[in-house]
Amino acid sequence: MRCPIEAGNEKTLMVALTAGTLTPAEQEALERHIDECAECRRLADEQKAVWSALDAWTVPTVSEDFDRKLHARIAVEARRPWWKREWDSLLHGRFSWKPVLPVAAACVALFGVFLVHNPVSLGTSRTAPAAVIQTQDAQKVDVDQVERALDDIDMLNQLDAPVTTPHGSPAGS
Amino acid sequence: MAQLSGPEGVSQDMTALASLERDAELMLRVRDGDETSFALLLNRHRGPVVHFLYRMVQNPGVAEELAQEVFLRVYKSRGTYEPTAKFTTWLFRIATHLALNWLRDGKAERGQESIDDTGGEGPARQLEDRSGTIEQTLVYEARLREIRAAIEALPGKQRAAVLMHKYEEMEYSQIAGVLGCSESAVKSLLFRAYETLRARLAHLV
Repeated sequence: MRCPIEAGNEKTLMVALTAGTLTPAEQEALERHIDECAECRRLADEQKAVWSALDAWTVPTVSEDFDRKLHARIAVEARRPWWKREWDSLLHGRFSWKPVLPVAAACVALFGVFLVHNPVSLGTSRTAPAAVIQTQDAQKVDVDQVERALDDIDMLNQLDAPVTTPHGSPAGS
Repeated sequence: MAQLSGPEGVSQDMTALASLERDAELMLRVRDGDETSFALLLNRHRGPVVHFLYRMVQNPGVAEELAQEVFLRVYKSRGTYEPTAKFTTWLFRIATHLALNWLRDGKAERGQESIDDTGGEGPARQLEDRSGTIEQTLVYEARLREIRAAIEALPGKQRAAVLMHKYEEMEYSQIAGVLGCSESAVKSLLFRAYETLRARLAHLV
Protein backbone atom coordinates (compact mmCIF):
# COMPACT_ATOMS: atom_id res chain seq x y z
CA MET A 1 0.00 0.00 0.00
CA ARG A 2 1.27 3.43 -0.91
CA CYS A 3 1.89 5.70 2.05
CA PRO A 4 -1.31 7.76 2.60
CA ILE A 5 0.76 10.83 3.48
CA GLU A 6 2.59 10.59 0.16
CA ALA A 7 -0.69 9.94 -1.63
CA GLY A 8 -2.31 12.91 0.09
CA ASN A 9 -5.27 10.95 1.43
CA GLU A 10 -4.04 10.36 4.97
CA LYS A 11 -6.84 12.45 6.51
CA THR A 12 -9.55 10.48 4.74
CA LEU A 13 -8.05 7.13 5.66
CA MET A 14 -7.23 7.90 9.30
CA VAL A 15 -10.70 9.28 9.97
CA ALA A 16 -12.25 6.28 8.23
CA LEU A 17 -10.00 3.93 10.22
CA THR A 18 -11.18 5.31 13.57
CA ALA A 19 -14.78 5.59 12.40
CA GLY A 20 -14.71 1.95 11.30
CA THR A 21 -15.89 2.68 7.77
CA LEU A 22 -13.02 0.99 5.88
CA THR A 23 -13.59 -2.33 4.23
CA PRO A 24 -11.77 -5.22 5.92
CA ALA A 25 -9.21 -5.34 3.08
CA GLU A 26 -8.55 -1.60 3.31
CA GLN A 27 -8.24 -1.76 7.09
CA GLU A 28 -5.81 -4.64 6.95
CA ALA A 29 -3.66 -2.91 4.33
CA LEU A 30 -3.61 0.35 6.26
CA GLU A 31 -2.76 -1.29 9.57
CA ARG A 32 0.08 -3.18 7.90
CA HIS A 33 1.41 0.09 6.54
CA ILE A 34 1.02 1.84 9.91
CA ASP A 35 3.23 -0.82 11.47
CA GLU A 36 5.98 0.21 9.09
CA CYS A 37 5.51 3.98 8.80
CA ALA A 38 6.26 6.13 11.85
CA GLU A 39 4.51 9.22 10.53
CA CYS A 40 1.32 7.39 9.68
CA ARG A 41 1.45 5.59 13.02
CA ARG A 42 1.69 8.91 14.83
CA LEU A 43 -1.25 10.30 12.86
CA ALA A 44 -3.32 7.18 13.48
CA ASP A 45 -2.54 7.27 17.22
CA GLU A 46 -3.57 10.93 17.45
CA GLN A 47 -6.82 10.30 15.61
CA LYS A 48 -7.56 7.30 17.84
CA ALA A 49 -6.88 9.46 20.90
CA VAL A 50 -9.40 12.03 19.66
CA TRP A 51 -11.95 9.31 19.00
CA SER A 52 -11.40 7.80 22.42
CA ALA A 53 -11.69 11.21 24.10
CA LEU A 54 -14.95 11.93 22.29
CA ASP A 55 -16.23 8.50 23.34
CA ALA A 56 -15.72 9.54 26.96
CA TRP A 57 -18.02 12.55 26.61
CA THR A 58 -21.24 11.38 28.20
CA VAL A 59 -24.41 13.43 28.06
CA PRO A 60 -27.17 13.99 30.63
CA THR A 61 -30.36 12.00 30.27
CA VAL A 62 -33.38 13.72 28.79
CA SER A 63 -35.62 15.18 31.50
CA GLU A 64 -38.77 13.27 32.34
CA ASP A 65 -41.09 16.17 31.56
CA PHE A 66 -39.67 16.77 28.06
CA ASP A 67 -42.71 15.28 26.32
CA ARG A 68 -45.15 17.05 28.61
CA LYS A 69 -43.57 20.43 27.87
CA LEU A 70 -43.50 19.71 24.16
CA HIS A 71 -47.19 18.79 24.07
CA ALA A 72 -47.99 21.93 26.08
CA ARG A 73 -46.23 23.99 23.43
CA ILE A 74 -48.10 22.15 20.69
CA ALA A 75 -51.39 22.91 22.46
CA VAL A 76 -50.49 26.61 22.73
CA GLU A 77 -49.61 26.62 19.05
CA ALA A 78 -52.95 25.02 18.13
CA ARG A 79 -54.83 27.79 19.98
CA ARG A 80 -53.13 30.58 18.01
CA PRO A 81 -55.15 32.29 15.25
CA TRP A 82 -54.63 30.70 11.85
CA TRP A 83 -53.17 33.86 10.35
CA LYS A 84 -50.47 34.02 13.05
CA ARG A 85 -49.54 30.42 12.35
CA GLU A 86 -49.32 31.16 8.63
CA TRP A 87 -47.20 34.24 9.27
CA ASP A 88 -44.78 32.24 11.45
CA SER A 89 -44.67 29.56 8.82
CA LEU A 90 -43.79 32.21 6.26
CA LEU A 91 -41.06 33.64 8.49
CA HIS A 92 -39.48 30.40 9.60
CA GLY A 93 -40.61 27.70 7.23
CA ARG A 94 -41.52 27.89 3.59
CA PHE A 95 -39.90 31.19 2.73
CA SER A 96 -36.29 32.08 3.08
CA TRP A 97 -35.50 35.67 3.84
CA LYS A 98 -31.87 35.27 2.87
CA PRO A 99 -32.16 36.79 -0.62
CA VAL A 100 -34.36 39.72 0.49
CA LEU A 101 -31.65 42.05 1.78
CA PRO A 102 -29.33 41.73 -1.21
CA VAL A 103 -32.29 42.19 -3.57
CA ALA A 104 -33.45 45.25 -1.63
CA ALA A 105 -29.93 46.67 -1.70
CA ALA A 106 -29.74 46.08 -5.45
CA CYS A 107 -33.09 47.87 -5.94
CA VAL A 108 -31.89 50.86 -3.93
CA ALA A 109 -28.68 50.99 -5.94
CA LEU A 110 -30.59 50.82 -9.24
CA PHE A 111 -32.95 53.57 -8.07
CA GLY A 112 -29.95 55.70 -7.14
CA VAL A 113 -28.43 55.22 -10.59
CA PHE A 114 -31.78 56.14 -12.14
CA LEU A 115 -31.95 59.37 -10.09
CA VAL A 116 -28.42 60.37 -11.11
CA HIS A 117 -29.24 60.01 -14.80
CA ASN A 118 -32.76 61.42 -14.49
CA PRO A 119 -32.66 64.16 -11.86
CA VAL A 120 -36.03 65.29 -10.56
CA SER A 121 -36.97 68.79 -9.33
CA LEU A 122 -38.12 68.89 -5.78
CA GLY A 123 -40.84 71.45 -6.73
CA THR A 124 -40.61 73.83 -3.74
CA SER A 125 -43.15 76.71 -3.67
CA ARG A 126 -40.63 79.38 -2.65
CA THR A 127 -37.46 79.96 -4.59
CA ALA A 128 -34.53 81.48 -2.76
CA PRO A 129 -32.81 84.45 -4.45
CA ALA A 130 -29.86 82.31 -5.41
CA ALA A 131 -31.99 79.34 -6.43
CA VAL A 132 -30.85 77.30 -9.38
CA ILE A 133 -33.39 76.31 -11.98
CA GLN A 134 -32.69 73.01 -13.68
CA THR A 135 -33.98 72.49 -17.18
CA GLN A 136 -34.37 69.16 -18.90
CA ASP A 137 -31.30 70.03 -20.96
CA ALA A 138 -29.39 70.32 -17.67
CA GLN A 139 -28.75 74.03 -18.34
CA LYS A 140 -28.50 75.94 -15.15
CA VAL A 141 -29.85 79.51 -15.33
CA ASP A 142 -29.08 81.94 -12.63
CA VAL A 143 -32.22 83.90 -11.70
CA ASP A 144 -30.20 86.97 -10.73
CA GLN A 145 -28.56 86.91 -14.10
CA VAL A 146 -31.96 86.83 -15.76
CA GLU A 147 -33.18 89.79 -13.75
CA ARG A 148 -30.05 91.79 -14.56
CA ALA A 149 -30.50 91.04 -18.24
CA LEU A 150 -34.09 92.20 -18.13
CA ASP A 151 -33.03 95.40 -16.36
CA ASP A 152 -30.37 95.98 -19.02
CA ILE A 153 -32.90 95.52 -21.78
CA ASP A 154 -35.24 97.92 -20.05
CA MET A 155 -32.48 100.49 -19.74
CA LEU A 156 -31.50 100.11 -23.38
CA ASN A 157 -35.10 100.56 -24.41
CA GLN A 158 -35.23 103.75 -22.41
CA LEU A 159 -32.00 104.97 -24.04
CA ASP A 160 -33.35 104.32 -27.52
CA ALA A 161 -36.59 106.13 -26.93
CA PRO A 162 -36.65 109.70 -28.30
CA VAL A 163 -36.12 112.34 -25.67
CA THR A 164 -39.03 114.78 -25.35
CA THR A 165 -39.21 118.12 -23.59
CA PRO A 166 -41.68 118.71 -20.90
CA HIS A 167 -43.81 120.36 -23.61
CA GLY A 168 -43.70 117.20 -25.76
CA SER A 169 -41.49 118.56 -28.57
CA PRO A 170 -38.30 116.69 -29.46
CA ALA A 171 -35.23 117.86 -27.63
CA GLY A 172 -32.73 119.95 -29.58
CA SER A 173 -35.18 121.30 -31.96
CA MET B 1 -22.70 4.60 9.65
CA ALA B 2 -20.16 1.80 10.36
CA GLN B 3 -20.03 -0.85 7.73
CA LEU B 4 -19.56 -4.49 8.62
CA SER B 5 -18.82 -7.30 6.24
CA GLY B 6 -20.74 -10.53 5.94
CA PRO B 7 -24.30 -11.37 6.93
CA GLU B 8 -24.10 -9.28 10.11
CA GLY B 9 -23.24 -6.18 8.14
CA VAL B 10 -25.95 -6.79 5.56
CA SER B 11 -28.49 -7.37 8.32
CA GLN B 12 -27.49 -4.14 10.05
CA ASP B 13 -27.77 -2.17 6.79
CA MET B 14 -31.20 -3.62 6.08
CA THR B 15 -32.37 -2.79 9.59
CA ALA B 16 -31.13 0.76 9.19
CA LEU B 17 -32.81 1.08 5.80
CA ALA B 18 -36.06 -0.27 7.18
CA SER B 19 -35.80 2.24 10.01
CA LEU B 20 -35.34 5.14 7.60
CA GLU B 21 -38.28 4.07 5.48
CA ARG B 22 -40.30 3.63 8.61
CA ASP B 23 -39.51 7.22 9.63
CA ALA B 24 -40.86 8.56 6.34
CA GLU B 25 -43.88 6.29 6.57
CA LEU B 26 -44.60 7.45 10.13
CA MET B 27 -44.28 11.09 9.16
CA LEU B 28 -46.71 10.60 6.27
CA ARG B 29 -49.16 9.18 8.79
CA VAL B 30 -48.61 12.24 10.99
CA ARG B 31 -49.43 14.33 7.92
CA ASP B 32 -52.68 12.41 7.69
CA GLY B 33 -53.49 13.18 11.32
CA ASP B 34 -52.11 10.14 13.15
CA GLU B 35 -50.88 11.42 16.53
CA THR B 36 -49.60 7.99 17.58
CA SER B 37 -47.10 8.03 14.73
CA PHE B 38 -45.79 11.39 15.95
CA ALA B 39 -45.31 9.89 19.41
CA LEU B 40 -43.35 7.00 17.86
CA LEU B 41 -41.10 9.38 15.96
CA LEU B 42 -40.59 11.46 19.08
CA ASN B 43 -39.69 8.38 21.09
CA ARG B 44 -37.15 7.28 18.49
CA HIS B 45 -35.43 10.59 17.86
CA ARG B 46 -35.83 12.53 21.12
CA GLY B 47 -32.57 11.27 22.62
CA PRO B 48 -30.31 11.75 19.59
CA VAL B 49 -31.65 15.27 18.95
CA VAL B 50 -31.30 16.36 22.58
CA HIS B 51 -27.83 14.87 22.85
CA PHE B 52 -26.70 16.49 19.60
CA LEU B 53 -28.00 19.87 20.74
CA TYR B 54 -26.43 19.42 24.16
CA ARG B 55 -23.02 18.89 22.62
CA MET B 56 -23.60 21.84 20.29
CA VAL B 57 -24.67 24.40 22.88
CA GLN B 58 -23.24 22.69 26.02
CA ASN B 59 -26.18 23.70 28.18
CA PRO B 60 -28.72 21.00 29.15
CA GLY B 61 -31.64 23.40 29.64
CA VAL B 62 -31.09 25.20 26.36
CA ALA B 63 -30.56 21.90 24.55
CA GLU B 64 -33.97 20.63 25.67
CA GLU B 65 -35.69 23.90 24.76
CA LEU B 66 -34.16 23.83 21.31
CA ALA B 67 -35.05 20.16 20.92
CA GLN B 68 -38.67 20.92 21.77
CA GLU B 69 -38.59 23.66 19.14
CA VAL B 70 -37.27 21.10 16.63
CA PHE B 71 -40.15 18.72 17.23
CA LEU B 72 -42.65 21.57 17.38
CA ARG B 73 -41.51 22.66 13.91
CA VAL B 74 -41.73 19.09 12.66
CA TYR B 75 -45.29 18.92 13.98
CA LYS B 76 -46.24 22.32 12.52
CA SER B 77 -44.87 21.28 9.12
CA ARG B 78 -46.74 17.98 9.07
CA GLY B 79 -49.37 19.26 6.63
CA THR B 80 -46.82 19.92 3.88
CA TYR B 81 -44.37 17.09 4.57
CA GLU B 82 -42.96 15.34 1.52
CA PRO B 83 -40.32 12.58 1.87
CA THR B 84 -37.86 14.24 -0.51
CA ALA B 85 -34.94 13.56 1.85
CA LYS B 86 -34.30 11.24 4.77
CA PHE B 87 -36.36 12.16 7.80
CA THR B 88 -33.23 12.37 9.97
CA THR B 89 -31.61 14.73 7.45
CA TRP B 90 -34.59 17.06 7.76
CA LEU B 91 -34.68 16.67 11.54
CA PHE B 92 -31.00 17.44 12.03
CA ARG B 93 -31.16 20.27 9.54
CA ILE B 94 -33.73 21.98 11.76
CA ALA B 95 -31.70 21.17 14.88
CA THR B 96 -28.44 22.46 13.38
CA HIS B 97 -30.12 25.62 12.15
CA LEU B 98 -31.54 26.36 15.61
CA ALA B 99 -28.24 25.58 17.34
CA LEU B 100 -26.19 27.75 14.98
CA ASN B 101 -28.67 30.61 15.42
CA TRP B 102 -28.44 30.27 19.19
CA LEU B 103 -24.64 30.28 19.07
CA ARG B 104 -24.60 33.22 16.66
CA ASP B 105 -26.93 35.26 18.83
CA GLY B 106 -24.27 35.16 21.53
CA LYS B 107 -26.44 33.42 24.05
CA ALA B 108 -23.52 31.12 24.63
CA GLU B 109 -21.95 33.93 26.63
CA ARG B 110 -24.79 33.86 29.10
CA GLY B 111 -24.51 30.12 29.42
CA GLN B 112 -20.74 30.16 29.78
CA GLU B 113 -20.98 29.56 33.51
CA SER B 114 -22.50 26.17 32.78
CA ILE B 115 -19.39 24.95 30.97
CA ASP B 116 -17.89 23.67 34.21
CA ASP B 117 -21.16 22.38 35.52
CA THR B 118 -20.89 18.63 35.47
CA GLY B 119 -24.15 18.14 37.34
CA GLY B 120 -26.49 15.77 35.58
CA GLU B 121 -23.74 14.32 33.43
CA GLY B 122 -24.39 10.88 34.77
CA PRO B 123 -25.13 8.82 37.87
CA ALA B 124 -23.16 9.67 40.98
CA ARG B 125 -20.17 7.47 41.49
CA GLN B 126 -20.29 5.09 44.39
CA LEU B 127 -17.13 5.59 46.42
CA GLU B 128 -15.69 2.29 47.49
CA ASP B 129 -12.02 3.16 47.72
CA ARG B 130 -12.10 6.87 48.48
CA SER B 131 -8.62 7.91 47.40
CA GLY B 132 -8.44 5.99 44.10
CA THR B 133 -11.97 6.84 42.99
CA ILE B 134 -11.62 10.54 43.87
CA GLU B 135 -8.47 10.71 41.77
CA GLN B 136 -10.19 8.93 38.93
CA THR B 137 -13.12 11.34 39.19
CA LEU B 138 -10.84 14.36 39.13
CA VAL B 139 -8.96 13.00 36.12
CA TYR B 140 -12.23 12.23 34.39
CA GLU B 141 -13.63 15.69 35.04
CA ALA B 142 -10.45 17.41 33.90
CA ARG B 143 -10.47 15.33 30.73
CA LEU B 144 -14.13 16.14 30.14
CA ARG B 145 -13.46 19.87 30.52
CA GLU B 146 -10.73 19.66 27.89
CA ILE B 147 -12.97 17.79 25.48
CA ARG B 148 -15.83 20.24 25.91
CA ALA B 149 -13.51 23.22 25.52
CA ALA B 150 -11.97 21.72 22.37
CA ILE B 151 -15.40 21.16 20.82
CA GLU B 152 -16.59 24.60 21.88
CA ALA B 153 -13.56 26.17 20.20
CA LEU B 154 -14.61 24.76 16.82
CA PRO B 155 -16.60 27.04 14.47
CA GLY B 156 -20.31 26.21 14.34
CA LYS B 157 -20.42 24.17 11.14
CA GLN B 158 -17.24 22.25 11.94
CA ARG B 159 -18.69 21.47 15.35
CA ALA B 160 -21.96 20.25 13.85
CA ALA B 161 -20.15 18.15 11.24
CA VAL B 162 -17.95 16.43 13.84
CA LEU B 163 -20.86 15.73 16.17
CA MET B 164 -22.98 14.26 13.38
CA HIS B 165 -20.08 12.21 12.05
CA LYS B 166 -18.91 10.93 15.43
CA TYR B 167 -22.08 10.47 17.48
CA GLU B 168 -24.79 10.03 14.84
CA GLU B 169 -22.47 8.04 12.54
CA MET B 170 -23.78 9.96 9.55
CA GLU B 171 -22.12 9.53 6.18
CA TYR B 172 -20.61 12.50 4.41
CA SER B 173 -23.53 12.70 1.97
CA GLN B 174 -26.09 12.97 4.75
CA ILE B 175 -24.06 15.57 6.65
CA ALA B 176 -23.89 17.52 3.39
CA GLY B 177 -27.67 17.34 3.17
CA VAL B 178 -28.02 18.65 6.72
CA LEU B 179 -25.56 21.51 6.25
CA GLY B 180 -26.69 22.34 2.73
CA CYS B 181 -23.26 22.02 1.18
CA SER B 182 -21.32 19.64 -1.04
CA GLU B 183 -19.76 16.39 0.12
CA SER B 184 -16.29 17.77 -0.56
CA ALA B 185 -17.10 20.78 1.62
CA VAL B 186 -18.15 18.41 4.40
CA LYS B 187 -14.88 16.50 4.12
CA SER B 188 -12.99 19.77 4.29
CA LEU B 189 -14.95 20.82 7.40
CA LEU B 190 -14.42 17.46 9.08
CA PHE B 191 -10.73 17.11 8.34
CA ARG B 192 -10.04 20.62 9.53
CA ALA B 193 -12.03 19.98 12.69
CA TYR B 194 -10.27 16.69 13.43
CA GLU B 195 -6.92 18.31 12.81
CA THR B 196 -7.76 20.94 15.42
CA LEU B 197 -9.00 18.30 17.84
CA ARG B 198 -5.86 16.20 17.34
CA ALA B 199 -3.75 19.19 18.29
CA ARG B 200 -5.78 19.75 21.47
CA LEU B 201 -6.68 16.25 22.57
CA ALA B 202 -3.93 13.92 21.38
CA HIS B 203 -2.18 14.17 24.76
CA LEU B 204 -5.24 12.66 26.45
CA VAL B 205 -4.19 9.14 25.44
